[in-house]
Amino acid sequence: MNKDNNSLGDFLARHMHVIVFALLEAAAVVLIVQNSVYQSSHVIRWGNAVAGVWHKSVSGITGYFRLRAENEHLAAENAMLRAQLASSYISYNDSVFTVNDTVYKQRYSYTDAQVIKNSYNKAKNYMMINKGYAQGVKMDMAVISPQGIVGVIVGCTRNFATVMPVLHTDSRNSVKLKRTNSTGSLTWEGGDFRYATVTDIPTTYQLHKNDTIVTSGLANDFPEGIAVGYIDDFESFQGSGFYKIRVRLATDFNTLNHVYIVDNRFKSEQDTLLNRTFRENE
Amino acid sequence: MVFRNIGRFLLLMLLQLFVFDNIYLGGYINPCLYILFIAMLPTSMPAIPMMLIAFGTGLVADMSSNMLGFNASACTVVAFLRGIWLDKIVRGDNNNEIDTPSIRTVPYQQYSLYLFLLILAYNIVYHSLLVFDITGLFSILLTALLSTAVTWLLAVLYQTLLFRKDNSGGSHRPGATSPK
Repeated sequence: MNKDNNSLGDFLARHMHVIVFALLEAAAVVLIVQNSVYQSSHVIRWGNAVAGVWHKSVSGITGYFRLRAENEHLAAENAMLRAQLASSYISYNDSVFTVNDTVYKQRYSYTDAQVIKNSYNKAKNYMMINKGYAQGVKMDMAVISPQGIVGVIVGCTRNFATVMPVLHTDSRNSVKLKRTNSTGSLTWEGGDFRYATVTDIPTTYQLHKNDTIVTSGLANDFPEGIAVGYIDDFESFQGSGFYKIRVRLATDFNTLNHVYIVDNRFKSEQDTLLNRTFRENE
Repeated sequence: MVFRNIGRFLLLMLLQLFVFDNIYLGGYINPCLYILFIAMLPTSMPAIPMMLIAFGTGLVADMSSNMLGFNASACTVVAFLRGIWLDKIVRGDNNNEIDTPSIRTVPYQQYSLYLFLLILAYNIVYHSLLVFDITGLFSILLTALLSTAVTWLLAVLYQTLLFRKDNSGGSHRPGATSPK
């Protein structure tokens, strides 16, 4: 065999048989794969495995190049998701339901709201709810809880409203003894948030412990018959002929979370009538 | 010279197709005596034509079994290795004077080894392609070794029968006996 390999041509000539060998083997393998189902399935499987390893390593490398952009993307997504967390939101669940009280010809609608700020250990407590005039809340609307009376809307912005609860030394609500329908007024003198005071019920009525006090419906805000509390103790107030009743409040202001805003649909009509009556009689 | 090889090709191929391809010892050991044709191609033949001839020979064998490519691939490997191993095993002798490697022109032991290695290479390639799975490595090796052993015995027998006989006087294949 010629041993001089000075040039590329010689090199190729000397190794041409290797190239031909490789080509022939390749042709044989092509024949095998084309004609044998078993072998071709193996080749396909190997091909997929090789391709899988290849793609995995390629993406493993290129993944590093994209890490920065990926991090930024993830951070943006985190921020977006965090903004979607329930704690980031004020719930505006505008489920409004109405009550048609045909007996009393009064019509109330209820809007549920969440208490988002609450105090009960001061003399003048306020709470804030997550509904405002955008959700139909107006001043002086009554606020109740599933347990009973809560308070009255005293401030209102677009999305929030403040409530003067029963636990406010300036609050005054019309209530009555459920059993006898004798009316009185509910006040709070500060102190224990579990108890309030009912006055103006004449001593001519017989009282019992645990008698139920409900709203009277005589004031515009509250519907009649909303639970206020239960008589805990009572005394004749300084010989005035009226009781001073210590009432265990139905509503637990400590755990208060969910309230309803009561919309008296006839309130403006009633107020207009009342104003006109006052004007005409003065 | 050419006709001798063609005659050998026809003889071995017919033997292969009609006899050995119908023999499966133990179910899977298939003698492949026809590669003796490749082993006995003239040493003067360049590598590339030899590989092409081997490829074609393998294809003929493949067509009979309707499994294209398996024999062609193995035969091409045999043709590729043939030159290298002949060079190494029969080193010292002048290869050009051998021309047709046979038991007559090459010492018996060297020629047996030469045949054995070629047959082994053929069988390893062939059975690897058949099983086509690295997990079948043991069964590939076992089958290849057993097939090699059987084929090798047959090849040596063939050589001994035809060429020794020829050598001792009978001229049933006269051309194979004399170097160029």
